[in-house]
Amino acid sequence: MTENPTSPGDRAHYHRLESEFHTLRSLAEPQQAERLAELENADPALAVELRALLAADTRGARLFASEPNIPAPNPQPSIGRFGRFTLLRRLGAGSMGVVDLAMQDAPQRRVALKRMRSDAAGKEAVARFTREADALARLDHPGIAKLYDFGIENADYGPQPWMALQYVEGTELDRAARGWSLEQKLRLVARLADAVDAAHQIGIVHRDLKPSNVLVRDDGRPVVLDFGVAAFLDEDPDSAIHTRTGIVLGTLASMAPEQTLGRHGSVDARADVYALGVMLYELITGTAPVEVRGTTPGEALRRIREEEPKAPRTLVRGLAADVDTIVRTALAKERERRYLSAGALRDDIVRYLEHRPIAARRPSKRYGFNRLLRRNRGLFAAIGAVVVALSIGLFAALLALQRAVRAEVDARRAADLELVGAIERTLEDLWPATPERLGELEFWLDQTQQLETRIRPRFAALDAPLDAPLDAPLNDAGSVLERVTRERLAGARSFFAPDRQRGGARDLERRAADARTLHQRSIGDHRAAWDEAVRAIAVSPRYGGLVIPPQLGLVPLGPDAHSGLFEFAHIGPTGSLPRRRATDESLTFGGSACIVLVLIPGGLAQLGHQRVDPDGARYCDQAQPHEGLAEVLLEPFFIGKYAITQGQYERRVGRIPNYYWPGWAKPPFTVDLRQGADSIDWHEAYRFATSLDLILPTAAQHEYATRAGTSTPFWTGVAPESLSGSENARLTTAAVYVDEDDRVLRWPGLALPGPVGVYRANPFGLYDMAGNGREWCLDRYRVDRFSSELRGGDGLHGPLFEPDLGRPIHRNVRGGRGSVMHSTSGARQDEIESGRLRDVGFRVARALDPVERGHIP
Amino acid sequence: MDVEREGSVAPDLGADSPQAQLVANCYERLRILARRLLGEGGHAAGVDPTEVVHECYMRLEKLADFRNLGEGPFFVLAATSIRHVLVELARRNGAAKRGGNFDRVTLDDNVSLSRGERLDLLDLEEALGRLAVLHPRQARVVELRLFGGLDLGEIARLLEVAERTVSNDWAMARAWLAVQLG
Repeated sequence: MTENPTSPGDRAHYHRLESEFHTLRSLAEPQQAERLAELENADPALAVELRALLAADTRGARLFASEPNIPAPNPQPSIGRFGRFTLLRRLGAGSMGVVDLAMQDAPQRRVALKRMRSDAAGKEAVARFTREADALARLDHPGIAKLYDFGIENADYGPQPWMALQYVEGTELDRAARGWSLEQKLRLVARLADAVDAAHQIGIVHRDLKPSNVLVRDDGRPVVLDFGVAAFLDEDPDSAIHTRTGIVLGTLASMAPEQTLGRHGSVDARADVYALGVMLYELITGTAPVEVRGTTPGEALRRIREEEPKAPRTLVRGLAADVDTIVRTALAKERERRYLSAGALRDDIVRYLEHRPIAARRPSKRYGFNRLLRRNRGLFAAIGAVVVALSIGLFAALLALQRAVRAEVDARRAADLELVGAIERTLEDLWPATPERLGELEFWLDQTQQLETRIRPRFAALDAPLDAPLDAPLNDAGSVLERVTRERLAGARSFFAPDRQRGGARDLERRAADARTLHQRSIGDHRAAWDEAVRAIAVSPRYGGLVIPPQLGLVPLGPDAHSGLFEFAHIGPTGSLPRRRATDESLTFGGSACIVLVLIPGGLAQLGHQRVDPDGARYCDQAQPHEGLAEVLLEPFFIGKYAITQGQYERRVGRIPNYYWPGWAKPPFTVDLRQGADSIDWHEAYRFATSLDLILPTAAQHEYATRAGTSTPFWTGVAPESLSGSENARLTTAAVYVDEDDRVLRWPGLALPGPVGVYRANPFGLYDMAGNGREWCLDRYRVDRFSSELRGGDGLHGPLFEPDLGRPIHRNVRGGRGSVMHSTSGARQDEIESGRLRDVGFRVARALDPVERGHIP
Repeated sequence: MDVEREGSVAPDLGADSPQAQLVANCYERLRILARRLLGEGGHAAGVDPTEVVHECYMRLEKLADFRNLGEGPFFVLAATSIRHVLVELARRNGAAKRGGNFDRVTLDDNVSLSRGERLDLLDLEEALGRLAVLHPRQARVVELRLFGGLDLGEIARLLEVAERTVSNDWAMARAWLAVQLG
């Protein structure tokens, strides 16, 4: 019977369990207890199971975070009332008061209710409590539990101050961070420091930061609890030590040395910096900086004041020196040597994460010596004289000089190899290859050429055999060094190799040459075409008399027959110029073509859609409830006629990012280089664009270009059916198109992007605006979008970059695939900018040059 | 088989048939669901929500009578298929990771018990299997709720039982699962 877990007996048991469960749930607390007690006698095993079920039920355990949040069917049994609160559970108690989980009557929400014991509520204590609550109420930071309400209840036995704080659910820091990477841990502490800094700025010091006071939410964001109440619960550290040893030892571990002196006035924000340092230390090394467990309080305090923690680097192999320095700076015994503020700690962590030099300095040898001296004044006075006598010995000095000369030669050779690496990395930033960058390009070109003459003779060494055989154990420093040097030398040889396409010395030469000739190639060689384009645009009814100068890097392709808008080829590494067919004036655009830009007339961009008012502007029944209307005045701009293709991306960057590679076939259809590039994150898209003197379109520009003068839900009309043949949003659309070689091909509508430019173009002559793949836009995504927040000219919404504190940054994405809702003109979607998504690619944009750029006489 | 069908990866439903609308709808719904289950981007899980949706879609497409299903049965199938795909991916990831001496894979921070403990999808799958034997309807309710994203009212209509019944089923199944997984 027990063999089979699904026997009928089990089923009967389950049904019995269920029926008792429902009965018990329907009972009020006392009756429930009564009934359970009865069951306990009759069937103890069943009672145990039922208790577990009821506990799970009362917790309102959500199985998935994604499960729609429904209130637990049975409210938790009450343990009393206080004012407008029903008390549910005791969370903690201290010498000064208690903390309960409570349900507020209106609005209905769970709060952590802190009440001061009335006998502790002296005049001064109440005043401070009020001051702190006041300050806390002004504190609005996602990393700090919010103060909802506070007040003073007049109880029979005197005034009783209370505050209702946000009740946060999460995991305690030390448990949550298990298995995290160093970077994740650093980001977490940076966020914590950001929260703590926000509090410091309005004068609140926590004084009791410790892992158990930090909860990490399911989304990985930390929240600091007990702000401004730590002092209230642990007023007097000394008495606390004696009365509540178990709790306080945890606290002690995070206590700054100056706090151990018990003088409250001497504790400032830097005590919190120390506590953050303790958390950082523990997260990184897994041990406490100063071990205070298993000691007497007096001994613990002494250790905190005097014992230097072990350097994190000695505990964690391979830990970066900068991280070591950051931790030790935060943990300095003398607070003058610590970070001045939590904000400074945060900034240094962020600097490290962004590979910038940190501000904190490693304690110098002299500093260490001074500390030693201070502690052992007598001893050093005695031996000082001997040390000085030895160090001026002539022989020692000569030896040192000889070593230095030899070291300098070695160092210069090593520095050359270092320089190769540095130039290689710099090369990534030496874009775009425009005349404005020519000075910089030529400077590095000069450096590279000098370097090449010095370093080339050394390549011969690479062909000589290693002194030690390759499989010899790496047990002496000499052979390790030799191997490392060889590897770097091999790297240098590849950098200077004549056949290296990208990222080497030849690439730099090519780029400098491109920059030098760009004006000639785009404007000089096409002067007549430019003159004609400038004239035609000025008199075109579509542009309202717009006069433009010739645009550096572009070549005019004339107007599109249908839209009447002027189109331009972007010359550069992305491909060859398309031409207009004589027959219907369409472009020969294929997998080898370069970027084509369309000049969009400026105007008032009326953005967004709504489904509140069917008679109002831009009504769309597909609109999401949070979406609303906005408008902004846009300058004329260029936008890509097509999304960036795989071929264009590959020719510039050197790799194909796509999920579906060229050659992937579902006969007779074969993916080729004309397919839109995808699986590219926002940064890669942004780098690609800016490296070509281009940019991504803002969401406003993208929508304005998509609408192309229409105000209907889709640019094709009101009904989703109107999209047919214009997008790849529905699985049922198929398209017929003509390729570069004038062959007629057909692409099935499906859940992957087709080649760009297959579906019908919109009134501006732009392809795939409603969706083939989805497309990144320039600006960050924010749910709310008000006209006043949009920058006139290009419609940029908010700052492009903000300090990165490790919160995921969302960017606007537009267009749809497999989704009619996303194919509406007014919809914006958000994606995390670091995501490489199989259906997200991008197109480029560019502002108008106000004057002719880049003419080199 | 006609030529039109042969090259097509997507089902040939005829542009604007009710089924086509249903498919488009379903696709959208699968997308939203996968995103909610896996977190945005699904990176933590190493699972691409787009991939999950696509996988599910491919599975549904293989069903012969797929095109003639009404909305109700369609969502029942969709929920089952999303569950299977997720479990399969978890197994695949788990197998790879176990080789490297890792703990059993969990899908994501978002797929977690509310107290912040990670929920192992494979454990859930196993517990659901047991529940399916003890009380098939309750297992179905859990599946529709968790993997189909339907609310209790929708589930009641779909299973043609009173909403009160579904709500009781859900309370019992949830508590039972929480105990099993706790």
